[in-house]
Amino acid sequence: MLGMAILLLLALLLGIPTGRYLYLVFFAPKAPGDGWLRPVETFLLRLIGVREPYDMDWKVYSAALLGANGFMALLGYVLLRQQGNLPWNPLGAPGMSWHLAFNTAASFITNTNLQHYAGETQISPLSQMAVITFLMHASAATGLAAGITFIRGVTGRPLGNFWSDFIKASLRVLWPASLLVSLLLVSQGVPQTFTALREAHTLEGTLQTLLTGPIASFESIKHLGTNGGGYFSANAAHPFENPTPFTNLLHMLSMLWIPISLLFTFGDAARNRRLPWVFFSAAAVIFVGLYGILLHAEDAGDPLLHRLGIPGPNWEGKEVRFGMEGTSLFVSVTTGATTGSVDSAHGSLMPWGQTVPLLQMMLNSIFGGIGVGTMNLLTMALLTVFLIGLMVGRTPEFLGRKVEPREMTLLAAVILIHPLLILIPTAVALSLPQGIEGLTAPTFQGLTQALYEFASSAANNGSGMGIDGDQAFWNVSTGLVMLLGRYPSIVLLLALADSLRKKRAAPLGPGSLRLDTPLFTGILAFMTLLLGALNFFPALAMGPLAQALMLP
Amino acid sequence: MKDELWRGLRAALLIFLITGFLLPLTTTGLAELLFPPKAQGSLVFDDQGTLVGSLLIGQDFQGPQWFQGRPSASGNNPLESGSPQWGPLDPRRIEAAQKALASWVQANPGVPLPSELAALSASALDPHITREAALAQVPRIARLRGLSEAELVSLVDGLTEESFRFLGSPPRVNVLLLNRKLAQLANTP
Repeated sequence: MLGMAILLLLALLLGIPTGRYLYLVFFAPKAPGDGWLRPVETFLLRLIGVREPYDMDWKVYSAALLGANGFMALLGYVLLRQQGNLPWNPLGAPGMSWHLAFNTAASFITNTNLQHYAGETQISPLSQMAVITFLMHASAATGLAAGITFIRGVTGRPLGNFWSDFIKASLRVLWPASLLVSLLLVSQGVPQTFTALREAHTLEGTLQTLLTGPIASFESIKHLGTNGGGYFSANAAHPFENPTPFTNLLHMLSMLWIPISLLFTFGDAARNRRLPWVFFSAAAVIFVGLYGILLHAEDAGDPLLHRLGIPGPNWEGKEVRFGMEGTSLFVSVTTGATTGSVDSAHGSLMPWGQTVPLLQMMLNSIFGGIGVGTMNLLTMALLTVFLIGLMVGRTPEFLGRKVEPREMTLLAAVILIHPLLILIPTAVALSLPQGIEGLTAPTFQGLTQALYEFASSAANNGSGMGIDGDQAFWNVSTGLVMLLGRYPSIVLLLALADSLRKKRAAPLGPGSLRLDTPLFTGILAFMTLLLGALNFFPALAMGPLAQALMLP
Repeated sequence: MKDELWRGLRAALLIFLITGFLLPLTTTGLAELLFPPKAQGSLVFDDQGTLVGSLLIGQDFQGPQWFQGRPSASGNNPLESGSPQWGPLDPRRIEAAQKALASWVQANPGVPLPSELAALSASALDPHITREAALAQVPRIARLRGLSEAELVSLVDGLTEESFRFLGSPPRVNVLLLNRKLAQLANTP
């Protein structure tokens, strides 16, 4: 638990000033670094074809976002299909099949980073750099832009300009931060080189082929952008991606950095410095509680192995350098911040351990991914406000703006998308032979694998429990779920923000519901858990909970 | 709307060139300038200058006269990283643990099996074992190589890394480093 306390403290120490910085960059007329960044920004916007950033309504903003993401994904798709004919492919990775390329492009443009290919043999170093690293940057900047715009809307501001937000998110946040984190990672041993293959003669006299590449620049944006795809199959468990306990901590901080900063940006935008703490505490209570369950399960170890006479914690699928606490913390952070990077085998967690990452992806707002996490947290807050309004019998208000039928309709749609995208495809996969074929584990673990795969896709997380996913059924189904988990909710929430923005804000009176109180924090956390439990308990009962009951 | 699509195409190409090429190239240039050995992958060479491996990548030590590392799903093949993700009730997991236990008991009579040596690593390339797992192998290696146990214990102690205890990282030893020192000590391969 000490590790958790230190991690959250460090994340706050980074997040509070960064939140202020983001506020200045996106909301204020002047921001630090304007002197030399503003001309670059203007130049990049000119290249895109924007002379002077103009305000967009939610439809134009969405169209710009979808159009840009569409072309980016298409470019990625074509390059992945053609990688066999492109240079810098020392292991001769063939062009991807149409469904694998579709899955991969959809996965990386939606910030999911679910991977149905082996990082070592099915993708070339060129694709790792020019396709995957590129899409990770693009999707992170898109998410950040969407989150900022949503905050603008709910605080009554014009939505702004997508191109300007996208370039600012890249130039003033993600590019410098990723360069800095990359160099820190290299200082710890993460390779950054253009030599891909080396032949080593081991101490015992056998041959070992070492695979390196531009890994640090891949790894930094992977966590800063809450992306999560691995350069290697083992992802962040691989010693080249995550060589020391320090890089493990750095990865976790990178994942939490921007999602937590955005809460403070929101506080500044809403002119209420207490609001960020409401959202932070509501998420942190759930986060810490679930982490406790996970750590306890892994520390207690595997009773079946204990019976054989092998005592100790559950080491299966874990790395020595991270230990139980470092591993469990990473599992919590990567599913809470919906990154999907893994430093252990989630499928090998104990049953209660498996429940925690699954549930966090189902809740989808325990800090959440870059930009969209803030949107999800605010969505839950809007729903909570509405329910409290129903209970006390008055029109619900959010930051002084009335939440009326149009807003509630949009909100209800957003909230329904997520469970539908998880539960229906899981049921379909489990009833089709093509679905069953991808499962690599027997009985309840197999069911959990399918549930996990779709929860991960819908939450745009990207971690997995070891299904054999490179098959047409799994590639196409998860690809569609990832797209539907990302874009409809962004567009609906932008419409919601635009609709709230146009309302007149009533001043805070004695009868208004105050959000910045411990009571509201408590209700928000309770509502988040309740909604998750109502939606997903039956599915969890048939997966990890059934396994928990079967263990001695 | 049509204008926005046109801008989308231009933005896609621009971001592709910057983040797919310019940024990784700049990072590589700086990394090789600032941390040259680490940027290359922490490579280890022997006295003749032959590449022996990477400090970060575990090797498959089969012989009982070596300190042995974590079980690996791919025999420590860096082109096949990862774990098969066996679940808690998976019979393959129990079987593998039984096998590990049986061969351990035979080679290390009277010493209990350290639990991480009965479980697959996450990466298949874990370079470390815990200090206890190294010490548990000392009697066997001392016997096979005709060295004193005290010598080997001090070897293990000298290489034990203890950083990040507060995040749960156990005291641990890099197996490749340990075996290199062992080879120098024993002066035999």
